[in-house]
Amino acid sequence: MVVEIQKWALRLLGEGEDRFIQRLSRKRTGGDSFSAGWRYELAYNAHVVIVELAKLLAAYRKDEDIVSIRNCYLDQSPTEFVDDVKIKTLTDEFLVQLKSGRIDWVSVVADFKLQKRHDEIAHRDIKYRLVNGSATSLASLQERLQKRGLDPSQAEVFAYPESFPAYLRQNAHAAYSLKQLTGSANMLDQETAYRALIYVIIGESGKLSFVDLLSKASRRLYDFLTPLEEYDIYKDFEDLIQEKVPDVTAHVSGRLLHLEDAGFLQSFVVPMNQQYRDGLRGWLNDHEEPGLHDLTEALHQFHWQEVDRSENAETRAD
Amino acid sequence: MLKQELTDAISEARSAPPGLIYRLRMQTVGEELVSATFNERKNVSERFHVVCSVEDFEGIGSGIRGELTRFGKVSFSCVWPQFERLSTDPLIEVCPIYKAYHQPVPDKNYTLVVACANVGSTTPLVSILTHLIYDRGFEDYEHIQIMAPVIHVDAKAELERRVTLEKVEWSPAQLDTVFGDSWSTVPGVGGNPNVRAGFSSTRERLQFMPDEVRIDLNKRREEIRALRLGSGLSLD
Repeated sequence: MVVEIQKWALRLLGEGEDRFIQRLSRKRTGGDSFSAGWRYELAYNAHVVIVELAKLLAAYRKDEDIVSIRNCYLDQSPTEFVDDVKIKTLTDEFLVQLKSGRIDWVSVVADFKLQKRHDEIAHRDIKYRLVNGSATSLASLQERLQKRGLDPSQAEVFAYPESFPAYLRQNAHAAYSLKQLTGSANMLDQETAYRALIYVIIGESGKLSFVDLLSKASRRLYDFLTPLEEYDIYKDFEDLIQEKVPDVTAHVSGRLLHLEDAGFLQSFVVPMNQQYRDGLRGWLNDHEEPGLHDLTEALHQFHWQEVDRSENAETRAD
Repeated sequence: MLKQELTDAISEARSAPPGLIYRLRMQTVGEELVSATFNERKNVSERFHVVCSVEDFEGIGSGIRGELTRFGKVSFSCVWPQFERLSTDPLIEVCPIYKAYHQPVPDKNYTLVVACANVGSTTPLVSILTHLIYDRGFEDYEHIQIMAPVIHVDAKAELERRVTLEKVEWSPAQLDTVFGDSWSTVPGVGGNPNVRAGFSSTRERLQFMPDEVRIDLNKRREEIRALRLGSGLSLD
């Protein structure tokens, strides 16, 4: 089914609508390289989701219009000639062609040119990217695009990451973005969030807003991810605990409270029930310099549970 | 070829009932593993930091820590990793660490020892190494010694693929080719090490704190509190 492409614009491409629709439907079934490129596409999509979500979080914190934020999306199967991924950000719209290894330039050039002609006729303001995993450098990929009459600014290099540390090494923005999203500078926390996001992306097809994707990934609250509207709202506990229990370092990220004292780390789930949160606030205000042991008892008393993946599943609404 | 003493110790641990007896037999495995690893090695480090999961702390971890004191000073970390397989195709596993206790990071020139009863999926091992080295500052180690008596045949290659750490050495181990229902191998150490150690639920494992950890933590808390009060840092 042709959704995004305009049929009337296809007719104006000049060689018969049917031929172009046939070409599109062949691309929709994945062509020959579906299985070979799937993992690469997944890794790239995860990267896009992470970077774009961090930008959206920053915009949300600056009170950007929530409707605009919610309108940004990832489409994993757009019906286009440049058809691997469609990305809508706050400022731009992109169609992305992904090539993990060798590039079949004849097909790429044909698709990019057809797409451009179609979009000019349909007056769509959209940008294109050719992402390659085997190019030795961005400059060399740009040179190859230019040689074939394509805009070199469309080039992007994304090497398939063999591991999470490799992903962070290869992508300068990834660690920063993951730190924003998880509220944690710890690589292990970030890796957990990264895998949780991949898990959600795999279960989705077609178009999904970045914000909805984050919500889905955040249903499991112990994966260090938080729905957009829940960011920063429990941060006050950080200062309060820090002030009242000076031997403890407290850090709140999303719905998780992390405590550390004397080399001992523990994490608790911030309860949804406001009474329990207020209960702890009251307890902290009523006690003079309690130790961590006292604080831990109070946390239990007010139903702040230790993170237990087997028991806290789906507890975002308790 | 494993030394007979080590092979015998593994067999005895494998056939032990869960709980205390298993943990005691795994202590012996740990001691044998230290002998098999270090007895004939020249230039053995004189400083060790031994990390293990809570289920291994009083078993193989205890044996290894005790035996290593023959060579030098030993400090420890105890971690509570929470393994979960999100998907099998593609394989997506996570193993965050929300709870841990670390004695201070040693000065330079120490051996970072990872003690585990069994390595099947490398995800828990990778998590422990990531947590220690990248997140908790145990980065100036001389080398990493992985001490696990039973490992999956692909574990070494898999670890190498997943982390680019230098100077990783493995102690002698029996090789299994079959994965169990979680992250462990079959026959491994006779089942999932969490169950073998005597924990009947994940909650029980999470709430358990080994005595050695509790005593050390309380001591450090008192020291820190006394230091803060003594230096007039009280909020009063």
